[in-house]
This record gives sequence, structure tokens and C-alpha cells, in this order.
Amino acid sequence: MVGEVSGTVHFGSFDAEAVWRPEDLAGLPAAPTAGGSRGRRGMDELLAVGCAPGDLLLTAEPMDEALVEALAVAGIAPRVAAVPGHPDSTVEERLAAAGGTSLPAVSGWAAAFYAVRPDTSVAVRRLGLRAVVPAVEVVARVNSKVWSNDLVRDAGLPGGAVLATTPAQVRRLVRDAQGDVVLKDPYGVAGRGALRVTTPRMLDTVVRHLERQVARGARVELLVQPLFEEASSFSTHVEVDPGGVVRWRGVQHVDNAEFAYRGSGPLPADQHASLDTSAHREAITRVGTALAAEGYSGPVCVDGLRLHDGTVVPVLEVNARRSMGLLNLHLDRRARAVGLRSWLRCRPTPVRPGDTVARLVSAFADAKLLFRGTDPGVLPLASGTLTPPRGRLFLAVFAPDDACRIALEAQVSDVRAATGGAASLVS
Amino acid sequence: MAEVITRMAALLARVLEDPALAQEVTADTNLLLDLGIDSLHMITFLLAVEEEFDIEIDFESLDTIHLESVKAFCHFALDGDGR
Repeated sequence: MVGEVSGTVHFGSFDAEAVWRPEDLAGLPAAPTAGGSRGRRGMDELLAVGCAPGDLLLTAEPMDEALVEALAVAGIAPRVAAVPGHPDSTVEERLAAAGGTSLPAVSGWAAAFYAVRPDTSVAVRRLGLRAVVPAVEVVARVNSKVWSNDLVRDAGLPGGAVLATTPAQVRRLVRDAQGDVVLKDPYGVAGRGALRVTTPRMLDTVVRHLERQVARGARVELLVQPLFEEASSFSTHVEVDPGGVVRWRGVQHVDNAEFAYRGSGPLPADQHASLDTSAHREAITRVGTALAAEGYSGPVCVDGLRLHDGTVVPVLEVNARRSMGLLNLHLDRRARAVGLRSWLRCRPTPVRPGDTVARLVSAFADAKLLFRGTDPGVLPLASGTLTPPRGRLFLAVFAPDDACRIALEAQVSDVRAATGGAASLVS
Repeated sequence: MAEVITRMAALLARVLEDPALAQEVTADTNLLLDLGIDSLHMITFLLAVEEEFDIEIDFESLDTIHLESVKAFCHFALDGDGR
């Protein structure tokens, strides 16, 4: 029993863009992924890093006990409970349907959810939690890249794209562009829903694919953007409170592979200098103020770019939800308390049946690599993302500086070489 | 079929920027599990296949089962279903 103690209940599915996206929008050509939806569902375990001791983390699937223990040793010690329900349903749907009747009593606690989905407000109400939950229609609108692109163009910021609403417009805009372009779905995320068009044949394929969908009644909304000569990526994090005040949370360096997310970490000194400016703060505050005017409150991640010519694109995309960069800010706060910094890493990895995060934790412990709360080390952050045949390994690297971080990541590779059974997980 | 597999292997080597794959990929290679190909590389590969073989892939019919081997993918893409 929780008794009189009060805390925060953390929960939320990470694939919010899928439910925000209107069903009648035509999509870009895409490839199927193996274990995709289940793996994405397992990402809710990552919310543990934002939990204070005694907070409650509700997940869609049971979290591996070995991981819960390893996190607790590192100082990340929420109580964790899986929400029962249909295997294909989200944690929000399960909470909204059953009200969490078999879960610890948490009435009066605060709620911290990953994103506002259609069932979030019902889930919050059923659990009796305290939270301001913006309307899902508002949240869906402001998370569209069309919304953020309009803001960028209205503000005269660099990096604006052009909206195409027919296959013919897509063809014309791509043909007329100087150099390669990127086509972006309004609700694409983490590498899905963005396509770099490099040849006329690719353009033909895209247009053909769109035309087939339009013939069946679909609408086209695609942003056509020049392929930027990117020097580095970053994310700026703010919190918009219900009164419209925009509070600064921090800026993170972002590692991407093409368009796919690979990690977050502290800003290198040169990036910090180019972003610690009043112009950057004004651009981000403008985003926060516009979100508040729409009726949104909560965490915001604004993705940006620094180009080779020194231009800063402060607002590339707006994510009105929690984010990987915010999770690393939570980790970094823990790291700073012991004189370290945190880097969050996301590595795609083959996963064979029987591979478990427990074996990974054990391998890191044997190699004296496992972070235990004080000295440099690495810490796996989720078990449910390791879905066969292909999953994602989320890992925090705690180190005093970049050199030590690189050395630790090299040791992770050494463990891979030396570990037989868990080799595919330690890539 | 052997010649088609060789061309597929060459495309995979180019897309994944791993020249050794041109020799290592076989008819039984699992595109997802053995090659670790992610969604971005996969779409690049599929578009390259269209160009190389002058075909039109039906992206809406493409399923993970078609990616369980290069041979299965070739049947999907080249033997009618994917045209």
C-alpha cells in the first residue's frame, strides 16, 4: 500500500505520432519493420530515468527484474508495475479501460505522461491523478510539422520548407529544387516518414505511390525541404506551464544516422557557444509562447541544426511531448551530482530468441562496466525494446568527459567480442 | 536466379556501405536479422532495386515475410507480386 505518501505516476506510449496522424493522409513509401510496434511499446521503460525514488512507473509490459535491480543500484528506483490488458493495447488504453484496478492506490498523485494521446485524460481521471491534460486535438495539431513550419516561416527563421498538397506539386517542387531534397511526413518521427530524394527515378516512385493513395481518397501533405549541409544536430528543451510561462530546461547535442536517432549528450563547447545566444532563446521562447496560445502546456523538445556555413536553424521540428533529449537531461542531472555527465545511446541490434537484458547486465557487471551510481560506467535502460529479430538497445554512458565516454563505448564493444550468448546485444 | 542474387548482393553492399557483403550475401540471407538493415537503409535498398531491375515495387503489399531471405524478396519483387 502507498499509504499517505504522495508521488508521481509516470506512464506513456512512445508512438504518439501514429495516433495524431490523420488516417486520410497519404504516406511516403516505407519498408516493413520486424518487431516494430512491440519494440516501440517497450520504450515506456525509459521513463524510469525521470522517476524519483518511490514514484510509480506504469509500463505496458513487465520490466525485466534484473534491469529494475540494476537501475535501483544506480539510484533510479521507482516502483514498477505492468498494466494488465490486451497485448495490442497501449498503456493508456489499458488504464482508460480498467482504471488500473489491480494497481497500487495513487489517487491524488501527480501524473507525468510521455505524450497526450486520445486516452490519456481518461487514464489520468480513472487513476485520480493531478494533471493538466491539454486537448488531444490541440496536441495533434501542434505536433504536425506543418504547424511548426508555418511558425518558422511566419517568424522568418531559417530552415523553412514548402508544403505540397498534391502529387504533381511534390514532383514540381522536387524537380525545381537546387540539389537533393527531403520529403517529410507531417507526423514522421525518428527516421520514419522522411525520405531523401536523390534521383528522378526515386521521385517517380514517390509520386506513383502518392497517386495510388490519392485515387483511393487520401490527402497529400508533405513538406519539401532542401537537404541541409548539417554540421551538427541539437535539441532545445523547455516546459510550457499552464499559465503560458516558458521555462528553459536545457540544450542537448543529438546524434543521428541519416534521419534516425542514435543518441543525446552534453553540447560540445563550440556548439554551446553558437547556441548560448539571445537569438536562440528568443526563437525557442517564440515556439513556447505559440504553443501556449494554442492551448498546449507541458514539455517541449525543439529539434534544430547547425549548418557547415555556421547558420543555426533553431526550429527544425517541434515535439510537444517528452523526448529522448529530456530523458538525457534527467540522466545528466543524476550524473552531475557525482561529477559525471550522461550520454544516452540508442543502438539498433539483432536480437535472437533468448537474448535478454539480464544477460547484458550480467556481462557489463562482470566487465566492471555497469554504472552503480558513482563511478563511470554504462547502464542499460530498457528491456522491452530488445525484440527479435531486431531491437534497439538503449544505454546510458556516465563519464566525466568525452574521452572517457569514448573509452567506455569501446569497452562495450570489447564485451561484445568477449561475450558468447549475449553477443548480439552488446553491439 | 544466381545472377539476380549477385546483383541484389551488390546493391546491398552499396546501400549498407559494406563491400564485403557483395560476396557474403546468399539466397538465404535474412535481410532483417542477418544484415541488421534498418528502415532507412531498407527503403534506400528498395528504391535502388526498382532502379536496377526497372520494376515497380508494391510497397503496400511488402511484408516482413518477404524479407526473410534474399530469395523470398526476389520472388516478391521480380516474379510478379511486386511489379
